[in-house]
Amino acid sequence: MSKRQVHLGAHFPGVNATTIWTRPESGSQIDPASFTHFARTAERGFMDLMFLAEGLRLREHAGRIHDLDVVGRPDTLVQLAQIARQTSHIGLVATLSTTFNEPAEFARQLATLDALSNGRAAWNLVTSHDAFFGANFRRGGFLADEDRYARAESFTDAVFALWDAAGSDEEVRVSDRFFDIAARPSVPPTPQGRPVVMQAGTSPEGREIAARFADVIFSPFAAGSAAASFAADIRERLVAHGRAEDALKILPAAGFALGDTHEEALEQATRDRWDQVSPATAVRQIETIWGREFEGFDPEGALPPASDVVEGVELSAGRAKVHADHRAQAMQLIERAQAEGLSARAAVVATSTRLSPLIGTPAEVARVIDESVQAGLSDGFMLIPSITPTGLDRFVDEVVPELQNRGSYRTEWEGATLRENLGSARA
Amino acid sequence: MTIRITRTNWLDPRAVAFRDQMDAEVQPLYAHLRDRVPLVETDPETILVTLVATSDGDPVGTVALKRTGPFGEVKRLFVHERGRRLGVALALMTEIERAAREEGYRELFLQTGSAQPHAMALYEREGWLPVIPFGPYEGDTLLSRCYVKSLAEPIVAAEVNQDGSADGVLAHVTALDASGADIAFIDDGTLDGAGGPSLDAALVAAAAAEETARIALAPRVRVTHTEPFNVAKAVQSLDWSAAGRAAWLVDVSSTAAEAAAVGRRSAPQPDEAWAEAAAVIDTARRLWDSWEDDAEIRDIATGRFIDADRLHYVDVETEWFSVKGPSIVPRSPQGQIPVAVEAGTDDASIAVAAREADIVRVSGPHAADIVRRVRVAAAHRPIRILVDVDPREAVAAPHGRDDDEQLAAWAAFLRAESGADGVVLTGDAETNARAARTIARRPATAPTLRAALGLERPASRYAAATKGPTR
Repeated sequence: MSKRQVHLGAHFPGVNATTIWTRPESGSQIDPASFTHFARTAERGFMDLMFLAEGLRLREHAGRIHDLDVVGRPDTLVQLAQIARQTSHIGLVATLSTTFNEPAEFARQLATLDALSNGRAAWNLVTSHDAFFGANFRRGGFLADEDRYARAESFTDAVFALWDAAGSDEEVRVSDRFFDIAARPSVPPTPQGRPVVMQAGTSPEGREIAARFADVIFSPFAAGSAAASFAADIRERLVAHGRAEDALKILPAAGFALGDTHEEALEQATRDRWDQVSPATAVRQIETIWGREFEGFDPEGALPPASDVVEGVELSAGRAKVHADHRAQAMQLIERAQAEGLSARAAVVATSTRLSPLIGTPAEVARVIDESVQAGLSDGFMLIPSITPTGLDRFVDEVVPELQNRGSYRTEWEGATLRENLGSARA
Repeated sequence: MTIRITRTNWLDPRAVAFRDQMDAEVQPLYAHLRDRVPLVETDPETILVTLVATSDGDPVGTVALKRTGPFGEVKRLFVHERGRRLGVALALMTEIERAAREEGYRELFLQTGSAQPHAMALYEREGWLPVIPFGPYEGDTLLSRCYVKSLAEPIVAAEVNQDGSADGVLAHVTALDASGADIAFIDDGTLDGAGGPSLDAALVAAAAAEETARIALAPRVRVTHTEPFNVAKAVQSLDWSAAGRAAWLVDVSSTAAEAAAVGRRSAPQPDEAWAEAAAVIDTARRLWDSWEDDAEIRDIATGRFIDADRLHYVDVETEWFSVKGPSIVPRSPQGQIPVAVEAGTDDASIAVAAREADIVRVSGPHAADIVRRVRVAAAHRPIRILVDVDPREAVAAPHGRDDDEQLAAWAAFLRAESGADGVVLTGDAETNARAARTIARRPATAPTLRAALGLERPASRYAAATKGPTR
């Protein structure tokens, strides 16, 4: 019996807290040539898809534009439309919000990307949830937090209906508490009909949306029991929606570090973690957790006491909220620092970045990936390199051949469209 | 022997004498047509420039420049026998073209007669193109042989219609690029599917950026049912993708069907839609300036990737929308991307074109009037006006040598008639590319569109406000 096949995605580093911009080899996050290099490298490595994130407003810290991470990115769809003509097989994933788009325009744009790429368009479905982003849009902060997923479902139903009607003169009508639409399809039928849908939420509502609509789910659970229970939960939800257990490809997000020896790879991973958390970034993260600014704080010294935490103050805006309970988060840092004798920055480094399972020699990393897939923990990984745009090069040159040698990774493309290469039936 | 050209006036006795001689030589050639072709008198009030040539002090020839409606017309080129074969005619023509440029003409016209083959040969050698008899000579194909010559290189754009397929629309744009055209306006269908299926023009333009080298890409993007923030960043991103070859053809929507397809608002009246469009353009321009050019600093010592003081909120509030900013896209190669507006005969679109646009498209029988109204309203703003020309309707000149030449003459004629700076070819892919090949100037390199239009790249308005324009 043939082995389960590994699927890989490539997350363009760009605007991301894990992107390292301080090294000599760190390239432009906006020059189209960076996207070209990254896309062609991923395609050379037979990766199913290349992924662009989106941010609809620049992040802020304490009411000022956050200036410590990479800032500035292209319009996702425009950039992918250009890449569509530079590549021939890789899927092109656009992260787009159901909150600040309207179905008629949205369906047309994705279908256009599908036509321009000959069937390689994909949509990473996200919801946006506050007035912070709404300040850039006509509707403003219009949507109650608890309605985010209800609108997303209605939105996706409308978009699917428009895609399904392409080529006909059939009028699509949607009338509910979110939409009042009467539209004929404005696009020609495209190669995939329905572009591939991805989802990245881990909340129960996000998983439900994924189980209903998505072909790929992008999870944060890269290994171990968290990965196993996530996979089991997704399979259960799929069955409840009348879909096959394997209808949804699970691609955990993971950074990686490679070395000629295991020790070298560990050293590389450590260097990456320290470069991801500069002294200034460490202070910013401590301020975020403590809910207050610390003028002149020395990150090489000790952490502030837990008694300094100001509850209920959110200094960071424009990114996913990771610190639900600030005091608990502060205590965790302080305990770690005391136990290991760490400076403030070292404590942040030790706790803020998730340790990837993909650290080792190329052969070791290939084995970890393959075993995760064969064990049913995932269908592969969404790789997040830390250097723009060359961060994927070594992986493609050295890990991909190892995966191919193991018989669990493609050596040629199965089909012409992303859907064919993923082996996904239409949701 | 020295030939000198001097500027004089219409009633200079030397010029009067030459014109009398010219009549005596030429009129007998057309005696047989006298009943059928009325004599066209020249009103001295319309003469702008009169030149006389001398050879070692002796007068040897004359020529004049006349205002004929919207056209500059070369009149009464005459070289005396003693000055012939000395290059006097050429010297007079060179000087009158220079004078016409000073008068602001981009095209010159002239009329000669069918019985003067030497004159026709001279003009054709010097780059004059045959054109249908115009103005006072209209309808006279017996005697009149009219010519046009462009003094300034025209801006050559083309309208790219969609046939519903990616391959079709991209083939049209790449053919235009190869033909040397300056701008491709990529049309867009509406969100309600009226007019048949098509693809999103901004994304088509991004794909075309990859497959073209020189041509500027100007997608039609409507602003009535779209998000100003998204439109601004898409166009700005296109400018990155096309390395400074982006433009934006702004349009509005006022149909009930498109409003129903989106379902966010009812259809506005055209006047209101254009008023909102002006606000969207202004907002986009602010967003394009919201990053100063040097905002990205990558300062390892302080850990700062950007200087947050060089990024700016735009804080736009209008009756239709508000946008906080800044853009998520860094300032693009052109900084300010050229904005194009189609000015119709209505006051609303003319006002927006005059106030906000860098490129204005006009079309139809009232083109000349619209051009005049836009130029008056735009006052001192630098603005480039293009007139729609369907190369399939090029009128055959009676003595045109080939189709391409007729096309070029036709385009120059319409441009001059309307007072525009260039043309937008509105034919099919094949005729557009052929026409562009004939009339475009084919730059050797790919400048940004702003540079091609002669527009400077401005500093961010926010930088100018705080630190002066030189940083």
